[in-house]
Amino acid sequence: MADAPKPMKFEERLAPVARAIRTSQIWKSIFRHGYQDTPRNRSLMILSNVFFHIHAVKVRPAALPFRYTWRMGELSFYLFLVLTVTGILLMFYYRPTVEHAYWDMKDLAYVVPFGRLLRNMHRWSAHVMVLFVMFHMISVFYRSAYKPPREYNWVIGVILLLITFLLSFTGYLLPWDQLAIWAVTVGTNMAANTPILGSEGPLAIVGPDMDARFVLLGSKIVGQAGLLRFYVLHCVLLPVAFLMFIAVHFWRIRKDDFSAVPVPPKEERAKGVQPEEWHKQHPEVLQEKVFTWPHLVSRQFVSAVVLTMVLVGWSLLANAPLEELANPNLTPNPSKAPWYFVGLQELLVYFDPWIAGVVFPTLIIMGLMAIPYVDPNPRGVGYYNFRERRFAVSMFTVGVVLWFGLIFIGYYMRGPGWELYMPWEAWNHHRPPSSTAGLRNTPNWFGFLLLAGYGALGMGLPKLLFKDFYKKLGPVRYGVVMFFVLAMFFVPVKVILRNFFDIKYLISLPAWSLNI
Amino acid sequence: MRNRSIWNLLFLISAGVLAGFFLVSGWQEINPEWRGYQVQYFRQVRQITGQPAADPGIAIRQIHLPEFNRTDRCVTCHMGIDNPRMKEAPQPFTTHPDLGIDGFLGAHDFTQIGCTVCHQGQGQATTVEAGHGHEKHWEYPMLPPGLTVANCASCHGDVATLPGAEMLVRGRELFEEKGCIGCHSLNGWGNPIAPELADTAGKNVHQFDFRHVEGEHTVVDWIVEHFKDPQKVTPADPALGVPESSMPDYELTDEEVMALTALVLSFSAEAGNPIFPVPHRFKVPGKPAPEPVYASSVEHGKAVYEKYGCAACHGFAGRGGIPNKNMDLGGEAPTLVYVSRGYTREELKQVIQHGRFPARALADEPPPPLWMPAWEQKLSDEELEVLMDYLISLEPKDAAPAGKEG
Repeated sequence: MADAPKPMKFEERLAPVARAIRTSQIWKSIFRHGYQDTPRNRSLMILSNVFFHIHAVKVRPAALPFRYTWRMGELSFYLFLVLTVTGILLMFYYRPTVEHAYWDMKDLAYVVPFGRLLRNMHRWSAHVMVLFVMFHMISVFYRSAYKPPREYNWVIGVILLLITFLLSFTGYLLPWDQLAIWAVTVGTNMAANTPILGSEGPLAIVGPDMDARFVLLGSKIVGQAGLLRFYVLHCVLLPVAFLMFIAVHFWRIRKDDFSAVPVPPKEERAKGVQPEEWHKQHPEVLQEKVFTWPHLVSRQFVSAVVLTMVLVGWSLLANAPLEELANPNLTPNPSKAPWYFVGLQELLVYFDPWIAGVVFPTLIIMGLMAIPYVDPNPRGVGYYNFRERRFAVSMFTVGVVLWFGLIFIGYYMRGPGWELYMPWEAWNHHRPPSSTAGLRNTPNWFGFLLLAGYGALGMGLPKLLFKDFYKKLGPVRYGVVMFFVLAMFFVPVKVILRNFFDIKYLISLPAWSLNI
Repeated sequence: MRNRSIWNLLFLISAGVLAGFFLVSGWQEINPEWRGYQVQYFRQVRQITGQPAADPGIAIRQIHLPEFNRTDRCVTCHMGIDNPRMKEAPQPFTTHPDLGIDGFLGAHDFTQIGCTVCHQGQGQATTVEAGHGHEKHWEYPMLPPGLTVANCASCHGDVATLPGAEMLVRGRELFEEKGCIGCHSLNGWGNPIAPELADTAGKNVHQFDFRHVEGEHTVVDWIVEHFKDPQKVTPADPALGVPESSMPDYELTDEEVMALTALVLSFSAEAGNPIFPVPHRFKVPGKPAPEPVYASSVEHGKAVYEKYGCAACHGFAGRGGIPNKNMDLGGEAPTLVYVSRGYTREELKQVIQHGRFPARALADEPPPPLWMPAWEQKLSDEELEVLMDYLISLEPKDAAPAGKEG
């Protein structure tokens, strides 16, 4: 690969300065010989360094451009490191007790040297990491980098996504202010609505002193037990679990070879030649690689520096929120979950807690994990491809839009009483609540018929109309795919039913706390 | 590498800006806001006394009071608090008023109790705005100078005799004169028509409606503006079916407003704040008031009239003027000045014992907010008798006789 472009003007100006330094007596007395930039040394930089040898010695040039991965994976890991370092420094000053937690946050802000910067860096890096792991997953999907042989690494990635959410959620409680305890109240109350194992869910068999919520909080209330438990989860268990899964994740990337592949040049693409065919015609292009050091590493380094600059700048300017001391007797209105869970909280408008807070998150996780195993199309690995995987890309995009759309509504468009407000509208705590008088439930038999019809049509129609599609997937994969697709579209269906037809529940069995 | 130049530029700019940010952060640590004040203080000391200060180190100073759950860093900037030579120095270096051993600070060693227990504010902060409590989400901003006296009640059970607490005494006088207890309750004693006063100032700021408050959105400001114009601060809300406040507009002077505000704040100070407790050994319990001795039954009756807050509806000395919206006979709670003409002693006792709901002037308007409660369970026999004597005595001696009023 061409490796020596025309140097820019300022580099030309710097070069003689650098040379003058390197040939001076002082320099030569310390650094007796240079470090020759040879292919062997470029290899050794990677091979003989325990941290760098996560990378391959050489990568295909297709892996280098920003638009391939948006650098999301590596920046997510970098943010994890930033969070670990800032987190450990914060641990020197923070005591996870109800008496001290909030006041230690105040001391960090006002007295601890660089305390304000440290705390802000930790908070903003956490939010950015949650966002970046979501973007990373989206980018991997669009590049088909989950397809064989990489299916299991995608599953590991989903587990890492879950661990990231939990890390952020457990950390959310630690400041022990109003924002913290009430957001965690919302989150843990969703656990209480787990079917069977949650005291307030359908078909509950345990009381509040033994249910899933109690396991999370160590108590029936959000108090000292929960704070200590969340602290240990946040600082010990979840980071260790994260590191274990990250190790497997990185190992798998190396074992399966990084997915980036070159695409055919413009003239061939214009003729309609697809990458897979072009690779078969020109197998040597897959072997053309460049040294990781310096090509990939330099890009990663610059991305990290840019991100760090943005984070430090933002941390200097904007303080992470710290509201009033936690007061269990005063519920803020509205009390919102952290932003990455507020989409699920928005679903509570349309579904009971056991569905919005338990069933849907479970289906999302399971659905994501199933993706590599139900996608029979082996093409598209290592480059962006829409034309040959229209169904997969469309369904995934619908899911992503739905997820971020729900987050947007829950975060920016819900005010006191979870009433709808335009993002620019001021909240009015004395606005009369919108009327639910017109809402009605469909008779159970009718709701059941509707649901059965939705399921039957959803399962049956595509099979009849798109026979190729059914044949490619086979009955098992087809069933799994349509199940998750139908579950996903059930959300807008319910939204329409409620907002346009004033229907609240299709099936309601209040004696069992079971309403759909 | 097509974009090598862009990458180089990006790297240099980011690294440069990042280095700049670290320099800024380092500068903020080396030169915090309070450092300037300390340097200035030592300069002042040298100017005024001609000698350098005794302990000239630049450092955060704090009074750490784990029993109070407070750490007051006010003395980081207010370094002249206990230096009597700084009386003429400008703020924040001035000596605390009344520094002498016989004065206020002699009895209140601030190294033992800190500053925020009286002044409020955010003790742990080390910047001016945050330290004075003017920070979003800090519920206890520093009290305006005139209202600091309210927090005497945090420790002192008996503020009436405290030197410097004259404003609270004035507030108490007004409280009894206007008969606030007639509508409000205080620690459970009083009436349910209006809110309980002991926890008013202790409520969270989010529990107040600031839509019609012009000043800062603080609890103190709400109380002050509410005293000045209750109907403006708590008006009717037709959408929610809430009528406007029935609290009369007493047209208080600014001095009276401050006295009453201090009084209301002192109720919460007395009730205490569980977040910032006052250790028991600092409490000065009040002595029980001696049994009052009355010159006459009329004077005793007047005391009963004040005790139960009759003035809230019937006005000071029964002169009336308190609005009672949609009440027949003039839309005001009745005056009592001529009550002896319209009622026999027994009839009067009956009304007081059993109460009365006034009739509406307009049938389709809401009922009047004020009514005569039944005092049977509350007034002792003796109190009832002396009250009769007082009420009968209200009629002015020079009034012309008139026909029996119904």
